Amino acid sequence: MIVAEQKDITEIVKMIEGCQNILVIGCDTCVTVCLAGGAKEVAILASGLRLALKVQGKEAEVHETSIERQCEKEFVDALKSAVKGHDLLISTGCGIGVQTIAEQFPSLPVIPALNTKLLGLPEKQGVWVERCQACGQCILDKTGGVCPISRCSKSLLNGPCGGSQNGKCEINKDIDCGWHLIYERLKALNRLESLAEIMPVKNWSTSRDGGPRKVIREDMCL
Amino acid sequence: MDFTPAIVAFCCENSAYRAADIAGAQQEGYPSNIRICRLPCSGKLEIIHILKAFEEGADGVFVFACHPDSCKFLLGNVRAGKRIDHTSTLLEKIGIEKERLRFFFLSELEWTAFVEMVRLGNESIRNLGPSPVKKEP
Amino acid sequence: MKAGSRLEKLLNQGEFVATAELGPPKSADIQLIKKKASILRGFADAVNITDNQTAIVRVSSIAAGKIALDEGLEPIIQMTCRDRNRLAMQADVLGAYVLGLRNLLCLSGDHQSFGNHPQSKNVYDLDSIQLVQMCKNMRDEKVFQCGEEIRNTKKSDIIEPRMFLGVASNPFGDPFEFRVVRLAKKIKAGADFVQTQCIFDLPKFKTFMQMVTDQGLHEKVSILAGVMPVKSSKVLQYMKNNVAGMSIPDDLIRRMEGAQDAKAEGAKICVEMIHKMREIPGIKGVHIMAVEWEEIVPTIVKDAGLWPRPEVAAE
Repeated sequence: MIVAEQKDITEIVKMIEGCQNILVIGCDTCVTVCLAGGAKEVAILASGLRLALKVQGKEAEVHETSIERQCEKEFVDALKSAVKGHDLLISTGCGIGVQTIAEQFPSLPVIPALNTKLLGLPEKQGVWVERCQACGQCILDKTGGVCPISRCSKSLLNGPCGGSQNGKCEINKDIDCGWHLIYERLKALNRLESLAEIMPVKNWSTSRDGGPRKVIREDMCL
Repeated sequence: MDFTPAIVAFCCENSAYRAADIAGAQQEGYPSNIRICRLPCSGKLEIIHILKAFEEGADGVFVFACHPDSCKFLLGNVRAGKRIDHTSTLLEKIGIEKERLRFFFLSELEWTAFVEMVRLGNESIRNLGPSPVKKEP
Repeated sequence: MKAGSRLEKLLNQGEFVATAELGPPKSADIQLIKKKASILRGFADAVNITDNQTAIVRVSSIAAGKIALDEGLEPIIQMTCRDRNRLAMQADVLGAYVLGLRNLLCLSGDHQSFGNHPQSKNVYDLDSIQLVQMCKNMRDEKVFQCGEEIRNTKKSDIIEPRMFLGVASNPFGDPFEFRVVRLAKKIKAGADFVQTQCIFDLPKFKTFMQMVTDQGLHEKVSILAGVMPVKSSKVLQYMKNNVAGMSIPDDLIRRMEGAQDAKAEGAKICVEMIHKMREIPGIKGVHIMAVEWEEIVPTIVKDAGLWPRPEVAAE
């Protein structure tokens, strides 16, 4: 899932300067699950902003709401009446959510309360780790289900590099060496011979390097 | 400073709430500006409760939990501790002194300790003065 | 002859080669490059010109290499995968060749988080194995990575860059048993010579070389053993704690600690290591990594009995 993290509240307080009527909009999907921007976090942020404004001796209203998913135009559209009368929208959704709200309400400024960080999963409660780079050309069948693009710091396809030590990446002992994991996995699957083959140069044009991407299901377009 | 702080004390009903009861029944009692809020466990406390208390005009928020390793629900006091740490940092960034949020460990028998903690806490909040949230715009 | 470089010719002649390193300056200091080149001239068969080593910005390898070439050295250009995409890499290979450079060492490169620009974008379009393969194809198949022939127009001559290709090998990285497989992969990709990471742990290195010779890899590629003179025990300790992929025995650190003249001891240890390397089957030379201590190389080369350097045999 998409994992995001709330920005420092001092950064958000700076962004709302001069605004009098603010609506904080949450999202009930990914950012709820990663405890960054769901209804609960919206309430905390809104309360925090109200307190910060009062401490600064400023007058402003901060309202709260949340929708099922900010990445669906229909759900965002349903906020049409709710956004009226506000001079600023704060989205606690991921970057997609912020942009969808901005597109649907172009005359209202909308700011992000979160930094969208990664595609991943919780390693344990409170800790989310990166797993996918959305490179557009999945090769997990070749690497025993471990992604070298996202889990190797250098995205090597013929790793590991010389810096792999004790299964850890040279840049940080807290990062597992992706290629060490691939090696162990292929060993368990009895497929180590495949590592003797040279993996060819990657076609990066299917990833973001090729420009903003689009996916189309013709059979679904009416 | 000559003002009576408004203080909310979130009390775990398995420990501090009972201690407060006993303390309240004594002749001395404890300061009357302390408003007790009963929780089934300190782990039930949410960050928003603390923030709302300050929004509603509290000058100080105290949280009483059972001693470490004594939580009836095992990790309730650990959760409370984590949320309070998080909220302290948040309060500082908002411009509210983190000393206005206090965390105490207590068992149900320690009613004298309860009185002492509340009294000292009350003093420290009085010294800090009214919450900066109450500043006139 | 693949590239016709001096290094290639000496290896073909069966000489025990000695290569060294020249670290380009962190400023546009042409005089320092010339100075370092003059120190090393005559004491190494070829000299690596490092490429933004440890992700710290320095004069580029090709630029410094050209100056070194003009000063009478045989440069080995280093190219990392960290800073360039395949277009820049191929353009640089053409550029290096056009400038008269003939040896290329292909490396993954230290991650930029190690250096002075940790916020930079990470390239790694290719990895080091794909880079070697690409350069080999430029030389032998005479095509670019996209498949196009290396010629100006359909009617022009093919003028391909012919580099003698090197790779690095770390016998001490993990998983240990995979290191030889990875070396084999690099050879398959087109490596002509290998420079290993600097060796302090001789027993472990011998184990590695045994695995290498068992598979006959030493006959397919020229392996040069990396050695490094250290100035103090602190350097060894630092490397032990902080540099990934290093195996440093504690008694070596103790020996340096107990030395009267640490620098002299460090050079002595390096010379001893070189003598030992000559006895290991499969080693065709040494690579002396006197990082920021080029001045010590002449002493080491002389004391190790490697001076004067051999001449390339007449055709």
